[in-house]
Amino acid sequence: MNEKALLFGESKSLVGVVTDPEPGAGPGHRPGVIILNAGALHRVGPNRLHVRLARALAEAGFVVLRFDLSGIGDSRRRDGSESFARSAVQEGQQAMDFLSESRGIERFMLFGICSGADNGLQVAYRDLRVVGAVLIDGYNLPSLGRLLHFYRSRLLSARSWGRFLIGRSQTWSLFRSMASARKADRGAESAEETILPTRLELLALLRSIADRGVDLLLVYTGASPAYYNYRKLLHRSLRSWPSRERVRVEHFEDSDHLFTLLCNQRRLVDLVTAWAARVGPAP
Amino acid sequence: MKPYFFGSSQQPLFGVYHPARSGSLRPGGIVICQPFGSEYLRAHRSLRELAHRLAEAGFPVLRFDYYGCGDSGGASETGHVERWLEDIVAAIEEVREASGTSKVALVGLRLGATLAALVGSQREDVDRLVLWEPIVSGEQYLGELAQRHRAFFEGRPKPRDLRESDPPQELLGFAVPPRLRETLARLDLRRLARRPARRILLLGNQADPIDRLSEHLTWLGARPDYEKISGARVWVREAELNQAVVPQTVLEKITAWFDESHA
Repeated sequence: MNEKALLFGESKSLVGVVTDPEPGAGPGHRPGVIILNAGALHRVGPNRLHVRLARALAEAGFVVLRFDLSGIGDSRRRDGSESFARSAVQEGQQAMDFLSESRGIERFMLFGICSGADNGLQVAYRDLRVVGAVLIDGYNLPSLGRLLHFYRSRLLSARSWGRFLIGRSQTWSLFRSMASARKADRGAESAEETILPTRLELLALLRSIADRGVDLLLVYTGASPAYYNYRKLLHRSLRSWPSRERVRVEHFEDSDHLFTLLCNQRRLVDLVTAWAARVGPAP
Repeated sequence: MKPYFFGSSQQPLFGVYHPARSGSLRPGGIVICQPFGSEYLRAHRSLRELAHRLAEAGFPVLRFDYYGCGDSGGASETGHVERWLEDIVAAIEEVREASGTSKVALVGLRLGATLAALVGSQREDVDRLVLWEPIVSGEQYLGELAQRHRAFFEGRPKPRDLRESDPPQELLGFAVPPRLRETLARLDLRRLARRPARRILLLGNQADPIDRLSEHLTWLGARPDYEKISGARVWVREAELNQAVVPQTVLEKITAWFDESHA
C-alpha cells in the first residue's frame, strides 16, 4: 500500500490522498472508492476513521481516494455562486474522473458519514459509474422524536438548561437546525439542488438507486436521529422493493455519531471492508 | 499551497507547504506543530488559516502531521512523544529545503506547543517560537483528556460489553497505548533546561500553569512576550465539528508578532 497527496479537480484546488494497493493485493478490477467529508471535518475523518478505512480497503485491493470538498479541510473555497449541494456532487464526480484518468477505473463505491452520506447519495443518484455506496447516518431529518430521545439526558440536566438559556448549548443548535430543516423541507419541492428530501422522497431516491443495480450499505448509529425517525418506514418499504437484496441495513446502536470508541471504529472498518469485497468484483 | 509526503518512504509524513506570497519573502521558514487526537481535528481549520496568513505576510510555512496522526503514515497506535520530536526536526529540515532559508521558527498549539518547546531547547537554530496554550504538564493533560472522555459519554450509548481499563487505552477517539501514555506523562515544560528560542510568544488563558511557565522561561533567559487570551479554545468546543470556527483575534496576534519581530 502506498499513499500520494494530490491536487485535482477542474481548478486543481481539491486536496486529496490516494491510497494504492500493493500490486497483487485482492482479486484485481476492484471499483475505486471515494471517501467524502463528514460534516466540516477534513478528509482524515472523525477520529481518523477515513485513514484507517482507506488503508484497510487498499489491503483488500481497492484504490481509495479521500479528499476535501471546496471550502472544507485543505481545499480552497470555490468561486462563483453555485450551491454547496450542487458543487459537492460535481466534486464527487471529479474525484471519480481523476481515478478514471489516472488509474483507468470505471466503477466506483462511495463512503460518507453524516453530510458525506447525503452527498454520496446524491452522487450515486446522478452518476451511473457508482456501483456501491456506504451511507452512514445520512439525512438527519430532525423531529420532535429526535429531540426527546437524543437530548433526553440534557433536557433533564440543570446545567444544560443553564447553557441553553445563555444560548451556548447543543440544544440551541438543534432548535436552529430544526427550524432551518423545516424551511429546507418546504423548499424541497421546488429546488432541484436541495439536499434535504422528505422521508418518502429519501426512500424513493434509495430505491431508484438500488433498482439501478447499485449495492447500498446503510448504517445507523444509536445517536442517529434518522435511525429513530424512519427505521420502521425503511424496513417496511424495503420488503416491497425488487432490489431489496442490494440493500443492507446495519445498526450500531451502541455507537455515537462519530464512532468515538475504538471498538466501534474497528467494527465499522471490518463491516465495510467485508461488504465491499462482496460487491466489488467486476460483473 | 502544496500537499505532499516527505521523510522516509516507509514512514512518510504528510505536509502542506505554503510558499510565501510572491514578492514578499521574509527570511525564516515556519513549521506549524499540531495538537494531538481530537484537538488536532478541531484545530485543523484554524491552523490552516494561520498558515495562509503567515504565508501572505511573507513567510514560507510547513504544516504537517506527526507519524501515526492525520494523513501521515503509521497506525494511530504507533505514535509517541520521542517519535513526534524527531518528526518536528524532519519538518524543520524540510521547510529549510523547500524555502531555501536557514532561519526557522516554530508555532505550536497545545501538545504541538509543548513538543515545539522541547525541540527548540535541544537545538541552537530555532529563532522564534509561538507557544499557543501549551500543555505545561503531561500528567495534567492526560487527566484532562480522561475527564473530557468521561463527560463525552455521559448519557451517550456505549457497548454493554465494553471493557474499560485503568488507565484508559483510548481517549476521545484515539488510542493511547502505554508508550504514548508514559512519554506524555513525563512531559513538564517547567523542567525545560535550556531556552527554547531567541524570541518567544506565549499565548494562554489558563492563568496558573502558563504563568509559571512564563516565569520559568524568563528564568532561562528567554523573556517571553506573554499575552493572555480568552474565548478561543477551538480545540475543545462542542460544536465545531460541524461549524468551522476560527479564532481570528489570536491568528491576527500571531501574524502581527511575526511581522513586528521581523521589523
